[in-house]
Amino acid sequence: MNKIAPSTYLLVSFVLVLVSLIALKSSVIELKQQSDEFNEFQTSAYKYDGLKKSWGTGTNTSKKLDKIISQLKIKNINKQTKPKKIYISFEETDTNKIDRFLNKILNGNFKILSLSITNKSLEMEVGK
Amino acid sequence: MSPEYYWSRVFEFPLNSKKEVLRVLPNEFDEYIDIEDASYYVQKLQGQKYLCFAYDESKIIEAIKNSGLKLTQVNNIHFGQIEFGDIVEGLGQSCMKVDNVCLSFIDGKLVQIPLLLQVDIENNIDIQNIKLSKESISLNNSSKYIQTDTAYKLTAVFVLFSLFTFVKVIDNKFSASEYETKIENIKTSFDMPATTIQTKSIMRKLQKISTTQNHLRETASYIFDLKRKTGGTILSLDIKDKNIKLKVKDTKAKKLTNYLEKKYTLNSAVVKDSIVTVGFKYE
Repeated sequence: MNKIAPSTYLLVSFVLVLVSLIALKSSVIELKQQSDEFNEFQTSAYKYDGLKKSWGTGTNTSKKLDKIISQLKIKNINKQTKPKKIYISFEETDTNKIDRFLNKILNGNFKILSLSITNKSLEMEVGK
Repeated sequence: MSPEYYWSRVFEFPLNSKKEVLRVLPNEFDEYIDIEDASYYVQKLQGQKYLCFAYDESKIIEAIKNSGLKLTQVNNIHFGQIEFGDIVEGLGQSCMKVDNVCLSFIDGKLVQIPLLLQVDIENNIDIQNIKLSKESISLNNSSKYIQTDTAYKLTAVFVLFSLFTFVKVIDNKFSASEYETKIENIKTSFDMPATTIQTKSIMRKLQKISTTQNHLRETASYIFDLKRKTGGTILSLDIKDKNIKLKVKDTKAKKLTNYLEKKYTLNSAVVKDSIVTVGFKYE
């Protein structure tokens, strides 16, 4: 039986080290790539979530408007709900109420499609 | 191994191990041979007696190569001194022929008889059938640059290093695959579409709405600030499709237009009955 020289073992193990290092480098690159992709996706996902919560459909626009109207005790309000938008108009002698209503609308995440205000009335269309 | 490749001598040392004997052997052989290229082997005899060998490995390697054998075909090399000792005792003769070489024990030492002095004896020994002892040497045929022990130690280090590296590779692969699961979990929890294209499309749409609405609010804020800056009173404000129509009273038209033109390009500015009506578009 042929005897394997120690130098052969050494050479083979050295090749093994080289192969393992190449595999390690490749895996590190792959891991970093996956990590970068994940971080990018995570950032994008949070942004998506934020945008969707602020401006997405189905955010209960009608209920939020009703809450504001109820809080400010605005009477004689004309509210029409259409498939894609809500129309609101009212006349109010108390200018302060119109200001407060407008402030709440502008500070909230309402998609204002049109707005028409005077010191006695307000008309607006809000996207759903 | 024929006696021509080694020197042997029995020494008596007050030492207990072969290892200790090996350490002192170069000094003992110094007066007979060039110890610089010599390797040593020790067989313990009775008491504190040791049968010691010194040999030049390069000469043995050369002889093996000259015989047409490869070094890898040679596992162990046995000393004729040790292997033939028992045979000679059994035969009761001091001369023997091994592969046509005449060997003899003289004063307990195996020696090769010179060709001129060889006698015609029939005491042939079949070397193939000799039962060899455990006393043997291995040739350091790995490299002239590295010792066998060092080679084995380095091999072990390399193998261990490779193992650790491969474990790390597997760990990295596992960690990389975990990111896929994490992405799927986020998609589920944020109710995101299945594909990135769909997600980006929705985001573009929502981002556009966000930008438009923010601009609307900035414009409204700028307009509501005009009372403080220009002193006028807003009579009405109409905003639709990024178009603004604004009616202001109790203000100078120039003052109002100057204020608005700092940020917007006016499309129209009309003064009628002390009421300034301006029209402009925001982006």
